[in-house]
Amino acid sequence: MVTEADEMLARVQARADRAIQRAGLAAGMTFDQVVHAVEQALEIRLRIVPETDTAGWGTLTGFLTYFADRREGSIHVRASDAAIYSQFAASHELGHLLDDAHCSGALHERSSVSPHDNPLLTTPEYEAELVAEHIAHRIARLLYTSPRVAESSW
Amino acid sequence: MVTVLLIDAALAGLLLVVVLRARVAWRQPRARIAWLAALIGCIALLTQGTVIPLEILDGFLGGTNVLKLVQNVLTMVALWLGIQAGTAPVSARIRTLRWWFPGLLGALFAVVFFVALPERGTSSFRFLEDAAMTSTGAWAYGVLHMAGIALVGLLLFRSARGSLPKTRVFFRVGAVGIVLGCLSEILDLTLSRFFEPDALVSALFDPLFYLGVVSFVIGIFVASRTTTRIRRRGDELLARLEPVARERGVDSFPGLPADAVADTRLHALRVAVEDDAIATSTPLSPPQRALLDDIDAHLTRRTTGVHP
Repeated sequence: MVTEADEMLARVQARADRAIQRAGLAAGMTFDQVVHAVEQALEIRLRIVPETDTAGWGTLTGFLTYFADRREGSIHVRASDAAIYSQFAASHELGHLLDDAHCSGALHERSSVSPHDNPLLTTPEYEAELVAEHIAHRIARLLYTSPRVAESSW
Repeated sequence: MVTVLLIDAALAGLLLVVVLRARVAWRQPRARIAWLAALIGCIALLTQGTVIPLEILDGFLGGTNVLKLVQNVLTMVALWLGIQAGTAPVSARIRTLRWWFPGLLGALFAVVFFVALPERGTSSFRFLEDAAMTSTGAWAYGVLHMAGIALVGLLLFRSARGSLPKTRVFFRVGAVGIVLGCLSEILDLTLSRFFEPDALVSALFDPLFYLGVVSFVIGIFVASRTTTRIRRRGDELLARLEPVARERGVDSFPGLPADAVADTRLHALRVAVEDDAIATSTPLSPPQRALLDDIDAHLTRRTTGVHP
């Protein structure tokens, strides 16, 4: 029997699939290349800003500011975080940008609290956060865990 | 005698690769390119007649030294496959490689062989060297096929750029040996045909070429050992991170594919642990932070493998 949760997961995965295809993201890219591919796919300009003054951020690990009229945005992450982790937080925001529903009032913030454990989210917000998280994990797989030629050769 | 020993050393090394890597080649389509390179290299070395007498093998082809052409084409194809093993994308398969290059070069070898050497005599190990003393056609074919193999050797040297660091040294030494061996043979054939043969130059090919192959074989074993160590390191890091996650009551991301590789699970759990530290305002202990640093170094390795 297909539950509501199963249906949502299928929808989330389909949205994540489309997002990755939209930007033509592929294994072997660097993080900068991923950001550039998103800029090209969406015809926008993006800046990744490592913020040093994050004492008041609480559980926040990254957020996006986007100006549709200027077609530019910036993704703010914590400068004190390890590169892999802050790139993951930034990838979550790239996920919001690439998602079908990126203009439909998603939060554009990444919390260290999982969407599963955040009762304050509405259902569309919850789904949008899941999509962004799925995309971030997919980007991470392309960046760090895809087979490398030198390790697949001999 | 030394020549036979050198050929057999190279043959034994390549046979070991064929046997020991057969299981990996069976399971991983990408690894079949390298395995086929070793197999064709073995067959090329077998045509030297050190194990099965030359007369028998060449006899199957009419006993007129056509085996020499077969040997030259196989050697070129084996080296070319060695290049593809190190440079083709992870998604490449044997059938998707750009076969036109060895195809064209092999066809050129064949055309020049039959046109320049219509009279080839009976089967002989030194058929080409002996024929080149008096035949310009034999000299032309000898120079052409050695130049072709030297070209592939140069490309092999360049292809080592993307190899794991220790492997790269062996591959480069091997490629240099192969190229220098070919150049010495070109010089030897030219001296024999147009000037005076030189015993020293004549003796250079075997040690340079076959020790080059041996160096390449060592590089192959170093590469597979390093790859195994990198994979085990990923497994060990995951085994060290799991108790940290349990201790903190952290679950990994639930949306990972069921068949996710260890590195994927490692990354997801690493993010979940750091999320928990921020969400609950309970910073990681220094050993836990050091573990995450080790994990990040492992995940961000390029071809170097960070600490191979």
